[in-house]
Amino acid sequence: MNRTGRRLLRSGLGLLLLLGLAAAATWVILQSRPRSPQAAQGSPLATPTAWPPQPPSPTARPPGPPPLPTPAAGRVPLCAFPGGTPPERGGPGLDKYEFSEPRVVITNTFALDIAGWLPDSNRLLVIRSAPDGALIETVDVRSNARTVYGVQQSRGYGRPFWLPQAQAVAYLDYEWLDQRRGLTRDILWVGQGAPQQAQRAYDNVPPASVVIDPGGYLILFSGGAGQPPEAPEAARHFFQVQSLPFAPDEWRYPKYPASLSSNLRYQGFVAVRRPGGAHVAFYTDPYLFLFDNGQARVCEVDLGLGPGEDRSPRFPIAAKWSPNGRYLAMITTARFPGQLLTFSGLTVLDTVTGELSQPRLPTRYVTDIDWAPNSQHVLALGDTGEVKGRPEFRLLLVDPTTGDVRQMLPQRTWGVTGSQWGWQMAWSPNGRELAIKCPVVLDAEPTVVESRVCLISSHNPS
Amino acid sequence: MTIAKDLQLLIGAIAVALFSCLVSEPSSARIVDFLAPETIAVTMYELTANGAPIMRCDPGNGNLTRWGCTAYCDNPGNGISCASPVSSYPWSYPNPYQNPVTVQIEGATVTNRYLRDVVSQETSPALFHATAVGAQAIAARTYAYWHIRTDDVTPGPLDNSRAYQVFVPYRYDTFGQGERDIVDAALQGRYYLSNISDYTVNLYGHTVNLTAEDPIFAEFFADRPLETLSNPPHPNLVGVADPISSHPDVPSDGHGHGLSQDGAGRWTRGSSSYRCDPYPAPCPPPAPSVPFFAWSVSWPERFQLLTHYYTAVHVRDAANGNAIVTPTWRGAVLQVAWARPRGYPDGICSRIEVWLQNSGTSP
Repeated sequence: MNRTGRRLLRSGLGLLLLLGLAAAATWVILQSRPRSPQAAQGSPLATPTAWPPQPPSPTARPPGPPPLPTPAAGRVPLCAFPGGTPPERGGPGLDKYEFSEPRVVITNTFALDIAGWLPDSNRLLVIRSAPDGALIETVDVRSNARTVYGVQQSRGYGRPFWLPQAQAVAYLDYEWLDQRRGLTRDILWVGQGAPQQAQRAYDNVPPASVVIDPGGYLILFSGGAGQPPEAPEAARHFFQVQSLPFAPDEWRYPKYPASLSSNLRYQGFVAVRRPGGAHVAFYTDPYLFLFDNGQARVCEVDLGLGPGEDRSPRFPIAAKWSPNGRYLAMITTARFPGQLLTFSGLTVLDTVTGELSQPRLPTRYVTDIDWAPNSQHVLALGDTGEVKGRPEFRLLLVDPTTGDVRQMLPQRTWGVTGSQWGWQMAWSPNGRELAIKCPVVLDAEPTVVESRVCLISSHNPS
Repeated sequence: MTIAKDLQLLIGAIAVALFSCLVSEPSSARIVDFLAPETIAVTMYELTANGAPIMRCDPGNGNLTRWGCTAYCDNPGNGISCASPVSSYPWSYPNPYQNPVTVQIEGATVTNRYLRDVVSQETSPALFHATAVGAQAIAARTYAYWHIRTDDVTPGPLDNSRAYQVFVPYRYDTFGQGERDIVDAALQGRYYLSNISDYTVNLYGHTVNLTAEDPIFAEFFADRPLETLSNPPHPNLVGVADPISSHPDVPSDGHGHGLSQDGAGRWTRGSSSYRCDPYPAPCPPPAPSVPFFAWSVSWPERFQLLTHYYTAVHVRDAANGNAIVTPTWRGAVLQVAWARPRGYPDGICSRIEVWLQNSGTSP
């Protein structure tokens, strides 16, 4: 381009800039006109208003203006809590805990998931993947004795759990009805120690009408449209059956600020029964409900909104009752469905005072949690960052009432991988053993070359 | 309000004029220094809800229907959303099952494509403005080209996790036709980003000589208030002011280098919100925080976004002999502010402030 051309273009540029400034000035004037004031919004994390729950009321509304779409008439009311003495803060301190160095107790060439401990605190329930299916087995961590209870075709589709009365393992799986069209049906299996003899306790479990409670209950919802489900005899043999006169899908209401994709896979409720059985917490994306067994009433716990511009509703992705039944510890998060999670944190609900505590942990993602036997402390596994593209984890002991946090085995980071969140760590019921994933991973890429479970002996002050 | 919107559009048009007043010299047919690849090899992992890798997608790991290996997954929960019905990605299994997979970068076939699924995941067309999705498409293509170009010096292969750019097969198909059209439009052309001249960069202890046609390291990230950050080895990753990301709810999410996805969404909408337009009114305010507000400028052109976030770059067209399609002289109006007395009484002089970024390639 020659000099004259450049000069002409610069002149043109200058003229355009002046025009732009004039237009901008006019626009700014117009923008400065007073706008109608936006209504102030109350905190969505309002203190619940009634618990034990009140009867659902057509006019029940949360306190303050709704931050999300107006709830439908008849929406489940927010929980209110009885109130009472705040928890004592004079219990044993976090510094009383001692953790040993880890030792490898289980290995596998393919995936290996920790499903939990059996009540005896000696046997670990794991899923050991293999090319022809995933073996659901218990491993005695002292004798290394293995007992296979079943083969799950879709590894980890449902978390296996122990049925103490039957000395059996129950697990959900699915089978194809029409693989080309992607149609499946859910099967509830019960294995008693010989995988070939695992029984189909419930064929074609309707996910919207049945919730399998790992406390050994089949919760059947008889409300809503259609016939209430009938639990087959085989299921009644292994499970206590509880029928509830409503459909949990009717508890749902729009909580996301934008419309959701119509082809999202149905996500049923997860049930966790309070020790003693007085209440059951039901959660799914993005809800948490508490059901009072004695009064047959349900209420919603509002966990508030997530951070950032989206302010999506916060919801649990895992929940565990404290052994004494007072607290519900949860891993909570918020995101628009389909987006990656940008955080997950520990939230603890005190069901006496209604207080929701969210201790600040030095981690961006909390992935696994478990209670200490004393119901005062929570052990959390947290993703603290990435090294060579793979997450590094730390073990954090937390006192939810004080917010104190102690990093256990601080010299160690855990290259925990190879399992989904919630399948990477389990603290034995007696608090003396901690099972944690400790795989061998390639240096150059996050490929697991050997899956491993390590055991850490823990001395706790209770 | 309509007048205000029209004026804002005018400002946008002027900004475009500022950006494109000097059209680059036409390129003549010649031998290219960089031949854009057609395919890419990706190691596939089952992913967690935050995009971290878990286990290689492999029949032995029982995860071919888990999220990451497919968007039509069977493991919703834990923060993961699955599309229905369940369907594993039929790349090559069981004949034999291969991982890494090799797929066409621009491919449109459901089982043989890369960018359509990447762009759909990285900037959901249901949330982001189409122009921001268009900018993301060019950044994602450049990012893929870069990793192929520097494959011999980078440790480990490219994979489908958040460590690179998230690739979940079928993700594009989980959207409705309207959203898929946005992604298709974003991928029209084979535009990519290059440096303005030949240069040398040290990567993992290796000296790499790159030409002016080679792709840049087009890192991108989610969001950051007010400014982006520099990544010193790379001349195109220089921190820039990003004043539109000034709402108090803007988080620090990601490494801060290169294109800000949410920032791009804001510039295209002329809004302090990346996902909702300022007119007729911004989306419901995020209680109890400050309501969203209109910004003084908006950018309707995706090249503007890219030349704002990446320094000393050109956009090239790999489908046209790597021809440069961006002008040399470029300016980005970041903000127009006019402090004045209320009511603007006659005879009062006041000063207009225009925040201008030289996003061009010459001083």
